[in-house]
Amino acid sequence: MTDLPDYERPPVVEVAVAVQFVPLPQFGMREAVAVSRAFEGWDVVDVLPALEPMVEPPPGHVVAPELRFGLGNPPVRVILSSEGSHWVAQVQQDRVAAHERKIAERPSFGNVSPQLANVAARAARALDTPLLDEPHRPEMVEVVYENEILAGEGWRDLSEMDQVLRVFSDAAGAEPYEAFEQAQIGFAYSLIEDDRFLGRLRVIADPQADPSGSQSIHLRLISRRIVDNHDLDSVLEQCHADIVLGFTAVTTERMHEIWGRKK
Amino acid sequence: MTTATIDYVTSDFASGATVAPRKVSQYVDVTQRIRDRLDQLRELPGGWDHEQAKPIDPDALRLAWTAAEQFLRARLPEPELFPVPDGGVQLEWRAGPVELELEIEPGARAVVFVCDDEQSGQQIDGELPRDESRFGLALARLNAHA
Repeated sequence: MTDLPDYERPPVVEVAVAVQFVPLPQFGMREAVAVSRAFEGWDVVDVLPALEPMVEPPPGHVVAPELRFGLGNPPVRVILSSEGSHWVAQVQQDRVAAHERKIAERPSFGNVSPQLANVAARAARALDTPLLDEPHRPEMVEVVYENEILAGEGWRDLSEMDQVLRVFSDAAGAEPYEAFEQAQIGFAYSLIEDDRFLGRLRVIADPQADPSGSQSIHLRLISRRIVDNHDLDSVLEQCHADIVLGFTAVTTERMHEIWGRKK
Repeated sequence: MTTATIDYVTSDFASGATVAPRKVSQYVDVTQRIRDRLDQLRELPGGWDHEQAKPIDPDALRLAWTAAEQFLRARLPEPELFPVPDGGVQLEWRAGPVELELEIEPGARAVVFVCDDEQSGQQIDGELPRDESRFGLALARLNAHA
């Protein structure tokens, strides 16, 4: 993994690492309170409905609409934040996650991966059950990179998304529709090795405009891989590599120069 | 009273993706500020306006907290909170040209709202829960500039 591209000024603003595991019997308010007590020095930001399970069907298969049937209160997820909001942790019935947010230094996978282990260990102690191990072994991992690509650095406005992302062309249509005002796009790649489906890399680009009128592209890359019987850390490393290689592949060389590509 | 909630529509292109609210520190700080402000209002004595103002009604305070918290969860801007001489509480939001006022009467008996949009020169007002759809429109206006 040492040959991955690297940048001096990448536009990354947040890195999240998550592991989906064989679900706990339940995770309601009682468990959320127990977990929050195990994060001394962190703030409970919110308790929200649990995120949907991550499902990655093999290529060509369509995910059936999810059916949920349950008695009692629906499962929740607890969201915690370290002082200064540099770190965010999420715990729910079938998932733990750690997020590093850009405050001064750029966030990186190398920081977040150990923090995830810390989050899982704290949650496991609070819930008095092993997490990321039998009987709650990891099933799927997810690494998410959030990037904010500001207009004015290599591209002027949202009609020039082709200057940033290769998936766009310079003329989006025939006259009078050759230049769009803004665009939103998502595309995915199956991750296949030796004819085996391992997961999927997704790229999602959304235009954003803040109230001051400045524009940016929110570029999210998500790699998900099925753990199977592989080593958890190595699967996470592969997700990280998917994202770095994918980011370099879908963005333009001109932007690589602006971000200070080193290798 | 029915408090409107806003569900952000997210793409199911990456269903279940591990995302967390973006501005968490702001949320924590803002909720604390609102709690502090409601505590201040709770302690106002009768005649706080140097006239005949009543102490602020506990039910109005409770409903003000519930409303403020729901709107913050929906990522609306931080409201300002003001006492009303009859013992009610007023919440005010401003975003760009849009100003929204929500007044909770004592005993939380009634909730009225007024939304002024300087850009369009329009005013949207009504009473909840009767005018819920109009209130939804006012929230959408506010949110468009938030």
